[in-house]
Amino acid sequence: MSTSEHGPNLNGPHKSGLHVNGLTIRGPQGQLLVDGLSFALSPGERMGLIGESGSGKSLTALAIIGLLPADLTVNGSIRWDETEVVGASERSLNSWRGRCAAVVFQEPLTALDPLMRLGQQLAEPVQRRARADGTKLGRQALDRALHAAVLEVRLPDPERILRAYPHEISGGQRQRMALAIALAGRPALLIADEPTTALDETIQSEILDLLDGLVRQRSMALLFISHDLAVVSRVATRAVVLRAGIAVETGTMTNLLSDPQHSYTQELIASARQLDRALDWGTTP
Amino acid sequence: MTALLEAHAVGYAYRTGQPVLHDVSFAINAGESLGLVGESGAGKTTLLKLLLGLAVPSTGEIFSQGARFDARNRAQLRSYRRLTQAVFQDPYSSLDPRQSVEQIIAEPLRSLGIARGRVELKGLVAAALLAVGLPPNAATRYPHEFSGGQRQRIAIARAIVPNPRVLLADEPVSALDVTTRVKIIDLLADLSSGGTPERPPMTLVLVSHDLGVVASLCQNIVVLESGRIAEQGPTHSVLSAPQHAYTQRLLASVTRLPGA
Repeated sequence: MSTSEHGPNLNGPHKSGLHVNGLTIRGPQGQLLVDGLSFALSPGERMGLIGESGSGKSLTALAIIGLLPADLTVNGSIRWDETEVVGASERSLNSWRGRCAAVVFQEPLTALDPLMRLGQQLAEPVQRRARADGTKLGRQALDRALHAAVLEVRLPDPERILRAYPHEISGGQRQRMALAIALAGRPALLIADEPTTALDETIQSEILDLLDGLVRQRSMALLFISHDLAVVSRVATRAVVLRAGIAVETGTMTNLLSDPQHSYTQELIASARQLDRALDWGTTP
Repeated sequence: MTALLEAHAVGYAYRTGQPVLHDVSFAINAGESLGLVGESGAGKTTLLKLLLGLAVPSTGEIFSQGARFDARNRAQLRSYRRLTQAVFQDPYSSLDPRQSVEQIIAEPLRSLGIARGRVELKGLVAAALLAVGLPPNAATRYPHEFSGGQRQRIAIARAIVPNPRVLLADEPVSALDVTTRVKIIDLLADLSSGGTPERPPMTLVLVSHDLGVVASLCQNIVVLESGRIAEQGPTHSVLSAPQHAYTQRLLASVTRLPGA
C-alpha cells in the first residue's frame, strides 16, 4: 500500500469533504479492479456512483470505509477532511468509522447480527457517539435516544422493534433499522450501496424518500451506489459513471441524463428509457 | 378458442401453513402472453410451480389445452413438458457447471425422447443457439465461460429447443444488468411474436415484480396481492387505468428516469 502526497487544502482545514484521488484497487493476482478513480464530494453534497456488475462500485465503497478484503491492494488516496483512509491503521479507522462515515448495504441481514436484539445493536453506535462527545448516557437517556432513533426511520412501535431479533421484522423494516444504526453515530458521510435493490418496489420507494429526507435534514454528504439510474437520479445531484473500474463520465444528474457524452452512459440511459417507454405504452395506448 | 392453459378457481396451501393462493382464475390463449405481477409473498412463484406441474392445486383445477391437467399422472406430465418449458431467474444456479452447453441444451430433447441420433440432436442444438443469438462454437464450451446475459441465453435455448407452445419464465431478467436486460427482453419478444416455419411463436407466462418488463412483453396482466387476484386484463388498460388500489400503488412506486 502507498499513500500519495497532497498539496495544500484550499477548502479549509476541517470541512473539505471526501477526496478520492487516483484510487486503484488490484485483485490477488494483480488484476485491475478499480483503475485510477478520482472524485470529490463536498460536505452536504449528494452524489451517485453508477455502474453495472464488475464496475468496481462496491469495492470503491468498501475502500472509502476502509473495509476492503486483505488480499486486495489499494493505491492512491482517500481523504475525508483531514483523515487519510488508505494505509490507516485498523485502530484509527475504527474510531473514524461510524462517527465520520457510515454504510448501509444492499442486504440488511448481512449488516445485522441475527443473535442480538435490535435494541442492543442500535445501542452500540449511540453509546460510542456519546463517548466520543464526552457525555455519559444513563439508562433512561439511552432508552430515549434509542426510541428517537427508531421513530426517526419511521418504524412503528419502537418498544417491540427494539426487543425484536432481525428475523422477527420484515425486509423493509430491517433496512430501516440498518439505516438507524448507520445514522446513530451522526456521520458526516453516508455511503449507501444498493440500499433498496433487494426490496419490493413500493418499499424501495418509501426507503428512498426516508433516506433522502434524513440526509437533507442533517446536511450529510451522501455517496449513493447503484446500478439503477432512475434510483440514483432521485437522491443525487451529481454522479460518476463507472465501467470496468474506470470512471467514463462525471457530471450533474441533469446533464448526464439530458446530454450523455460517453457511449456507455448513452447505452445505460437508452436501456432504462426503453423500459420506461413500455410502461408509457400502458398509460397511452 | 380453447385456452392453452387455464387456471380455474385455483387455491394452494403448503402442508404446514395457511393458504397462499385463493380462488385464482385466468386463461392463457395462444399468442397472448401473460404477465403475473405482485410483490414478494404475493404467490407468484407458487402459482408458477403449479403451472410447471411441480405442485398440485389444493383446490380448483388447471387445464392444458382444454384437458384437466394432473401433474401426478406421469404420462400427462410428460406430454405437458412438451407443451411448456421454463426459464428461471438465476442463470448461475440453473445451469449444470459440469455439462457442456450442448449437453445442457440437448437435455430436454433426450428426456422427452424427441431427437433420434447424434446428427439430428446436434442440428437442433445449433438451431437453438442461433435463435438465441449465440455463436455455433458455444456448444462445446462450459457455462463458466459465459457472462450472466449469455448464460440466460443458454437457459432460453434449452427451453425453446423442444419447440414448446408456452414458455414459463420466472423473473428471467431480474438478475441481469440493465443493458443486458433489454437485450434479453428483445430476444424474448422476438421468440414470442415472430416465429419461423421450424419454430412456431411461443406464448410467454412471465412472472415479474417489474411492471416495465411485463409491459414490454405481455398483452395481458394478472396482478396478485396476498394470494388473490387484485386485478386482471389487457396490460395497456390495466396500466393506463388501474382499478384496484394495489395496482395503483405498484404503478406509482415505479422509479423512473426524469425527463424524456
